[in-house]
Amino acid sequence: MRVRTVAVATTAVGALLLTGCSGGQSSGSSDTLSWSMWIGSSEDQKVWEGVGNTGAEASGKKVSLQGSPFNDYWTKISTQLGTSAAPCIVTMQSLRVNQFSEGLLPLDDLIKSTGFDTAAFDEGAMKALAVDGKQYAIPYDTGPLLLFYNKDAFAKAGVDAPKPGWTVNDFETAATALKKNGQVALATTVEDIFLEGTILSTGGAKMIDDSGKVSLDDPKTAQAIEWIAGLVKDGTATKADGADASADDNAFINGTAAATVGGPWNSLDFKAKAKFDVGVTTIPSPQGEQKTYSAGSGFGISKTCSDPTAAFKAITAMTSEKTLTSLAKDGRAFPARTAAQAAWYENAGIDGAKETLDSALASAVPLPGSSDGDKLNQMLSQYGPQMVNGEKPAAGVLAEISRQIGK
Amino acid sequence: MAHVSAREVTAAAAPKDHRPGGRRRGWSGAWGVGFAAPHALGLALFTLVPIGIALAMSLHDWPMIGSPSWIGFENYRQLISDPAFRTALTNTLLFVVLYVPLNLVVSLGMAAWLSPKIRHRQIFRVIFFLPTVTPIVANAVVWRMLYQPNGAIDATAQSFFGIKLPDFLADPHWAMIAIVIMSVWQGFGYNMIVFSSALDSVPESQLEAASLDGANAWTVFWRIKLPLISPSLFFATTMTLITSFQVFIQPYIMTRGGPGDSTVTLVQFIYNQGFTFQKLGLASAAAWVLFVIILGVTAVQFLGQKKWVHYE
Repeated sequence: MRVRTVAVATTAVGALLLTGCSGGQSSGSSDTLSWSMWIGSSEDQKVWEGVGNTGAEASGKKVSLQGSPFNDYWTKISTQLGTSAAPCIVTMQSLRVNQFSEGLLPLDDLIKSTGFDTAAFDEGAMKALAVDGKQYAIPYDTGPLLLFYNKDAFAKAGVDAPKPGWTVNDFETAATALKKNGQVALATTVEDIFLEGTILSTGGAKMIDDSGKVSLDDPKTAQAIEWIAGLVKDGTATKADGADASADDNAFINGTAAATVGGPWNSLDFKAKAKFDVGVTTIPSPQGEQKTYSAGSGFGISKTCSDPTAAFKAITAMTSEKTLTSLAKDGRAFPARTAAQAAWYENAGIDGAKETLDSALASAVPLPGSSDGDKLNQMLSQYGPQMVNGEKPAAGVLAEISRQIGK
Repeated sequence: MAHVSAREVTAAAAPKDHRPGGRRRGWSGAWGVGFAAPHALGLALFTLVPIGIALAMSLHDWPMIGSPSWIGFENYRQLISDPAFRTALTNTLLFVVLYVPLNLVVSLGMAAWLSPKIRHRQIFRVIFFLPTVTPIVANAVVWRMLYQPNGAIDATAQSFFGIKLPDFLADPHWAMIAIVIMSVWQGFGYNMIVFSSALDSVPESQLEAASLDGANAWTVFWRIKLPLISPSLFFATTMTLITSFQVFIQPYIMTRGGPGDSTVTLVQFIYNQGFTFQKLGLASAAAWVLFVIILGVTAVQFLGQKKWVHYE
């Protein structure tokens, strides 16, 4: 009997251990609020931990930061939301909120009951994080898409510093002058937000319509892409790399290309890494009329969070004027809270940044989110380089992407 | 303590009980169950249960967030009619057909070359095995850079031969070949070690007898060594086939499945459907198709082994 007891006991202990393994931590243990955030470097980690501490102080709970690189973040959060493994506080990007809204708690009741002042935030930034009239996150940053350029390379090629509102023709003239000087003008990309931004500004075309549907059959979209492909063929733009989302940033930072499309959130990284003077202007448009997308990010609460009230207290502190001013001073994020925006301008360290941002913001429209947003991004990384690099006609590639997304 | 008492129990029981299937077997059987339990539980919980769950999921419309609904075999029907799935299947088969023979030829060739006569063979073995033990993601990133226009390969070709090579990873005709070459470099070391140790264990007396009978080196290799290492060849072929059907990291890092869909493999199709398109049901159905394919191919190999594998 003793042997049988040993066998049964071993099995039982094994089962117990394995059950223990599979349990995992639920999102709202009694004294901790888990918070998921995309983190790109140890500097990022430090800054966001500081933000987490403000949330901890306000909520009286420990805020534990779970970081992952931007692209992996979306894969991870999609497996977590809707399960007990979901973090309590979820960082959300405006163009992806539609896709994840089912796993997020609408914040409207909490906003009402706590008297949270939404009017202190940029209206567009707030709206960008709402779906069907329900607010799913409180924004911490926002910003229009802009064109960062290498002031030294422009000066060396004898090109005047571009002013906000410059035209596609102005850009082409500058690109030709840069090429004569052995300098590629533009770093291209197929990453959704930046490609969509470039296409809206230079060609007036939208890849996602205002209702959030991916819509690629507008001939203007194909034309705008053919324009980029022309630059690539001409040798005035780098080839887009679908497998490396940071290829365009790297090409700009290491001086291979003299300009790249980015948001205010890129400025700190560009300024810190580039060994040249960084300038910023608007993305060129056909007639100098301004058109650009704005996008931002904020903090939401998962549906499975066991203590949404504490989580909202934490979020309130994490988006407070004090916190956002401090993030702005670091150049980390262009604040969604209007009162904190001055600090960003003062500390951006880029001449003309305020003029450019004011000019771009005046005409910026929120980049619409889509429930097919990640699909589009995946398809762009696979198929995008063929059209942007001019290897296949844009219209055909766009039709193939539509077919794959639509099925 | 338990171990000592087990031996005592067995020793005490042995002389008394000679009936087959009697008391002694029952006792050791219980011990067997005890020792196998942790592994069996692990297998059940982390392999069999997920396989079962995946089968159940494949019969549902199962979104990542939200509630699933039963749709029967609709996911499988959708897969059959989906050109993207067929492309992924074709790409995977292309990879398998190119990669498996190339891997076996290279690893067997290297193992044959690294005979005990080679000086410092241990050092060579370590060097050739290194890619297998370095993280595949890191290898893929390095190869991505090597393959780029003006990267190491292109730059070398330009400066030595004055030839501009194609942009391997951006050219739909070259991308898969580039991935196969990288994968062979990454993976041949493992099979090489298996073959090398099998070749070392071929009895010297048989080789001597063959050469006394006038067999040349080629005949010795083909007629004596290969049949004698056939169990290792069978093992290596089976394992390489299984893993090659599951290829994912190399195309994911080097091309993301592009250009177009020219390097989307079955596992990437599953990954995209599950984690990007959030269709867990469809992804599970595709995973089951892959599972059945691998099971079928492995079964055929086991059936075929009687003809060419010699266990002696």
